[in-house]
Amino acid sequence: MTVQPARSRAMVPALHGAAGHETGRRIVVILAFLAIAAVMPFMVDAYWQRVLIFTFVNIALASSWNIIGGVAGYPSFGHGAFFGIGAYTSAMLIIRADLPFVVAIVGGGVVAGLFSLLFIPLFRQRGFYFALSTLAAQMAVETIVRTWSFTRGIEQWDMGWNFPDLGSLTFFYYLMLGLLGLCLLSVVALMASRVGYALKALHKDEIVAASVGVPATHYKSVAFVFSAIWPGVMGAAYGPFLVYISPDNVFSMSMTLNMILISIFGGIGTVTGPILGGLVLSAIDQIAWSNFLEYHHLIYGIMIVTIISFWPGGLVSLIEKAWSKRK
Amino acid sequence: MLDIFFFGFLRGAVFALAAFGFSLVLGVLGIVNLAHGVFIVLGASVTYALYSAGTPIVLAALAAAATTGLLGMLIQRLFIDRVFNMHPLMVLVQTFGVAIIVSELANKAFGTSERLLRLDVPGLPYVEIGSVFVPTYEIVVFVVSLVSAGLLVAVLNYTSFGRAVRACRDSRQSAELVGINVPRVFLLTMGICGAWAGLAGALILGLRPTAPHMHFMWTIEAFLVVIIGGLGSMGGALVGGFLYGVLNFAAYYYWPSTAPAVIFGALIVMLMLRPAGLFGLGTVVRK
Amino acid sequence: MEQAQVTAPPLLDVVSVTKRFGGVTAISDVSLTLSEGEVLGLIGPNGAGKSTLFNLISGVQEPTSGAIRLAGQSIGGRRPDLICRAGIARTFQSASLLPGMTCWENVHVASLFCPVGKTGGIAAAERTAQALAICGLAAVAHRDVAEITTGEAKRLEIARALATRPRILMTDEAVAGLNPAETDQVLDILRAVNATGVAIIFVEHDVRAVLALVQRLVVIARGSVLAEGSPRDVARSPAVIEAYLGSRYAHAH
Repeated sequence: MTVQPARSRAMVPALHGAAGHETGRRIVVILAFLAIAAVMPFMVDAYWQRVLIFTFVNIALASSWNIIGGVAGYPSFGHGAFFGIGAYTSAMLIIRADLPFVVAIVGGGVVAGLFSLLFIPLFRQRGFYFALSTLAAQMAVETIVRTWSFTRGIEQWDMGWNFPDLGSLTFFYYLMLGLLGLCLLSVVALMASRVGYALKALHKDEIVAASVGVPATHYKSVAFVFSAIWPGVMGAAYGPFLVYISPDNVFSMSMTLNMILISIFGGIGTVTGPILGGLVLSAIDQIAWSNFLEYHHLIYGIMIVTIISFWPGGLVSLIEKAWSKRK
Repeated sequence: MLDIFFFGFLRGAVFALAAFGFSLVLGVLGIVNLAHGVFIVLGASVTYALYSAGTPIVLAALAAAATTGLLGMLIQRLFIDRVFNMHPLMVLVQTFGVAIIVSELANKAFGTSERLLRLDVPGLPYVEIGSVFVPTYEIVVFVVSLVSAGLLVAVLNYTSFGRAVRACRDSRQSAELVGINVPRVFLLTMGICGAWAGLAGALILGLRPTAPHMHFMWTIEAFLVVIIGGLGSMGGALVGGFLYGVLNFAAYYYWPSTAPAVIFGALIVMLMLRPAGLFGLGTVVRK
Repeated sequence: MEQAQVTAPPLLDVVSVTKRFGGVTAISDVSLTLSEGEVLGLIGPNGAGKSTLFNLISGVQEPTSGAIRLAGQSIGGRRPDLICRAGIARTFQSASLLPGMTCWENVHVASLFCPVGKTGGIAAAERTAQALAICGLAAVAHRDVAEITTGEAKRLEIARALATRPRILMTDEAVAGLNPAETDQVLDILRAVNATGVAIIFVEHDVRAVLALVQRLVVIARGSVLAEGSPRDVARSPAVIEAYLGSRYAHAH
């Protein structure tokens, strides 16, 4: 066999560097973002801190959604359900079972993750079975939570849950920022690992990927469960911040819409896209909220359609195009 | 118990009608239209608005169906055509966005309250069948649904347009080779889908309170009908409609507040046990 | 040129396999065997069922009836990723390189997921580099797959299959669309691979390439086996001459 060992070994470090280069770039962007966000409370007032907290939640949700919807190519239309499950789990653990906040946060992720296991059989089917089932799931879970006495509220007449005071605004700000940081770094780690490779390959051509040894259902399931855990965690942490939670504010289609829109807007399938998308969308939102509150959903719908029609790669692809033109 | 089967079966026809277009679009264009439910609720809203303004009900229903038919073609031209070559699941997200847009606009135009039109056949409000009193309206809905469905099947099987549609469904490439204008077929298929779904909506207006924001529920129900009956099969959609009609009626009767959860459970079970449906023609292909 | 009778089971044993789609029978009662280290050619007109047979062996499709065994273990109907891990690798006839990724990344997927045993970072990277080197692609490793030539693309497919450390390599039209020089390059690679003990199933239309490489030939037409044997014997078979090989074989000589 005419192998030139010296040549082949020379290839390895250079190319390894290429793959690592991208991960490094992502980490730099994330750390920069976290650093800037960390000093914001010293520069803006309480109103903007609340806005930022909501933005952090949305970025985390979009990053997770992106793993299953963008990288793996299985858009979930009911991911908001995991956020709501997290919030409700947190409510029941803190209010009913009197457990510490930390336990509730972890519990939210665990319960959401367990619930996502129900969807694994669907991965053997075509993508749209999955898509519609997730949509149905969100509606079904909302109905159950609304009507089941165990989850309705602590008293018989309750329609939601009232959290005790668990911390100041500043506390929640850094809590959510910290959780967001963990979420983003775990996404980067996932994408740099074999799972990331597998998902990308599966998305581009499942048959070819399977022919070179990638177990399709296994990795799709891993991606989905991972993408369900973080919304659960964020919901569990955000619930107490809202003080009062009910199906209307944690199970609304809005959260799902946000996730999808931010992922598409920022750049579907990318890691830094959701950060960018979340920030820009928040800004747009602030303007729209004060001026066009009623048309909120409508504007989102228009944005989804416009972006997919004209700039399907989102902001990240626009930036990359501009960057390469400068060279 | 028997009357539940009976009523469910009656309503099944209109569920089948609502789902036909969905199945057709899935087979011909190869896409899942998440905006499908919008045609149904819009059909109901337009009918209600016209009727309240004095239009005779039959005319109102037909006008509503025409409106939703045109809307279907508009959606195809403006939104779906553009993203056809993209990743198929991105088309899903696109139709999701379209669903949001149209339903929000409908909310503005028609309001968010749930409408129900109590219609009685003049002079004959009830018909006695066996020991059950069946509102005549339900029978009218049943008959109209079957006739419309039959009309659609006739168009598909006996007209040259129908042949073109079926050719596109079976193999798009072959259809192109034979010279069929595929984009035009797509346009008209979406138009038919919209019209038939809109008609179903007009009929449903008399059975269930309907409002624009309920469109996703209808999309899922159409999907369920198609899943039960099997992808790509019109006969399957009919059977699926009947079975789903019974399931739906029973769910709302026994567990009125958690019915959607029951229905969802049925969906999951169905997908796990028999993903190809009862009469499914498509093989279970990965992606 | 008779081979000595082998008492061990053949490496690959396809037994009376049939595949039906709806009303169409793509493959009917096809049997063939492949021994360790053998190079088997599979030829036949378009639509004869060669690609379907590939799909059945590699797990992309399930046989309607019949059995497929690898070293005695049944693999018919198993998942493609498991079959890959069992030691069968394949190339595809058209457009199977993952878009938007570099050549190195395309091969690296295989290194990461297929070979049983060490799949950790460095070991996988070395496997990828080695596969690329064997196929003469070291220079273009970092290029996007959209930027390479047809010849390089064909070799990349082989490199990807090699990265899985297969026992059997199945190539589907590996030299289609290549000029004589590029064709020879691919044949050299395949000979070198075979010399390390990898058995090869070579599906090809180019008769010159087939004759240059294979030890044994199977002819498939209309879903069933028409003839089998050494290239010389097959060429003399009246059924084959009539159905397919005829004038083209005369041409190659």
